[in-house]
Amino acid sequence: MELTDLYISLFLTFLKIGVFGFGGGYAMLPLIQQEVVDVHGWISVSDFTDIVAISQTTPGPIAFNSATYIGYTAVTEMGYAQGYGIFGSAICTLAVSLPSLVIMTIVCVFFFRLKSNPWMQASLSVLKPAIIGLIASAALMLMNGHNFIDYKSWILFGVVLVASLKKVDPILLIVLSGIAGLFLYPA
Amino acid sequence: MSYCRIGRLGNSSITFYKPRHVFDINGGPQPSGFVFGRTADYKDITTLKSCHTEFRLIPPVRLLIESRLAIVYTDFAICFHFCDTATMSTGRQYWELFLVFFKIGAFTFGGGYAMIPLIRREVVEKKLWLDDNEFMDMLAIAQSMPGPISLNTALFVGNKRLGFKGSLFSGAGIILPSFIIILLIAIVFTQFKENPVIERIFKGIRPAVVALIAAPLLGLGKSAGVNLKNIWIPLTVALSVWLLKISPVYVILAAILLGISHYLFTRQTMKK
Repeated sequence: MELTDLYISLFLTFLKIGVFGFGGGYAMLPLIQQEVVDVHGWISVSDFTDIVAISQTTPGPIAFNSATYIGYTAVTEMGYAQGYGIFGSAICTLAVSLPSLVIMTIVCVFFFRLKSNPWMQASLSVLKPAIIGLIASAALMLMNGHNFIDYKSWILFGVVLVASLKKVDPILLIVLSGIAGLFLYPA
Repeated sequence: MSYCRIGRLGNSSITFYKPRHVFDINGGPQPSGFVFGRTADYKDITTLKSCHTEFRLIPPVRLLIESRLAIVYTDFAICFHFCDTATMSTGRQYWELFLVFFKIGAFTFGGGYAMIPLIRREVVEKKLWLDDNEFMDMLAIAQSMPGPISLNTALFVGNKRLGFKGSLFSGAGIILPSFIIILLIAIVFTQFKENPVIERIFKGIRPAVVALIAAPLLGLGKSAGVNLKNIWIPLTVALSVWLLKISPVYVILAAILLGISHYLFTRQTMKK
């Protein structure tokens, strides 16, 4: 693929993710995964899970983090030099935040009318529960053979789930599960 | 110590001491001090902020240093705000907007909801850019619009404060920290991905990530108002995206349409 074509398709994809990224964070994961893994095949499912893991241990929203990471890897995986990859990640990050910029600028003009707008309330009444469904599907889509390789994975999953419900810090949980992985899967 | 009275600015009168060419008031250079003394008319900070456009600062750095030295002579709170917002040149105000959100972007792990208390502390308590009600309203809007909540919040605050250009600065501030960090990780990580030790670590992390996504579902569901009557919505969405591979784009459009048509339907039956 031509480099410019790749840039354009990265830009358009992340623009789409920005426009339909309702609910932020985890709710955007299924859309990002479908576009980036299934449709374009820029990265693999396990790579995608790794990005989510990195996102949870670094500052900033997942949408930016995955845009930056995928922009870089998609270009460098094609065999282009690092500099092109950095430009690619800048394009993706810009694309994913552009819709927010446009929408929030409009919102600032109509702010007080929008708040009590019945149309707005009406669409949110279904959209909010739907976002919960999107987050659930993000978890379900990642429960696959690439991420869950054997019974040990399920034990780790269960332990982390319970610990997370008990409000243990997610960064600590990721670090601990990384150490656990080192012991559970000897070389 | 010589005091010089500048006269009324907005509803307030300000007394400066040390008449010097620090301020440039309404254009041309005028002899004036930099920190005001007794400020009988300043009952609250808002009044003070309302007159900030009437000042332009010539040497900002020097003012900042001198103002700290002169705290003894002035009401601390007013002095602080006077220096931080009221007398700041516009360029510096943009820069401040950028810095505040850069700090928020750099220190909030996990994004989204974890950022909200931090943003509130900076924007409502420290900088007084919004009051609590405005902040809550803004949050409701930011959550119902597409895009990350933190970015939407930053753009909103930037726009409210300094218009569209302000939102560019605050937006850049919130994006840049994670951009730099992830770019560095991407550059390093792509070189070590094949490393067997890294692979073993990530074998442990991957199921944990899925658990971390699934864990907050119950709490989020409750706060989104999911009950027995509408539990079919998240279930249908989850199954159709997961099993039928339907794009979330269509799911979101369908959800908005459904909400609006339900509203139209109930409004019509109400009329009858």
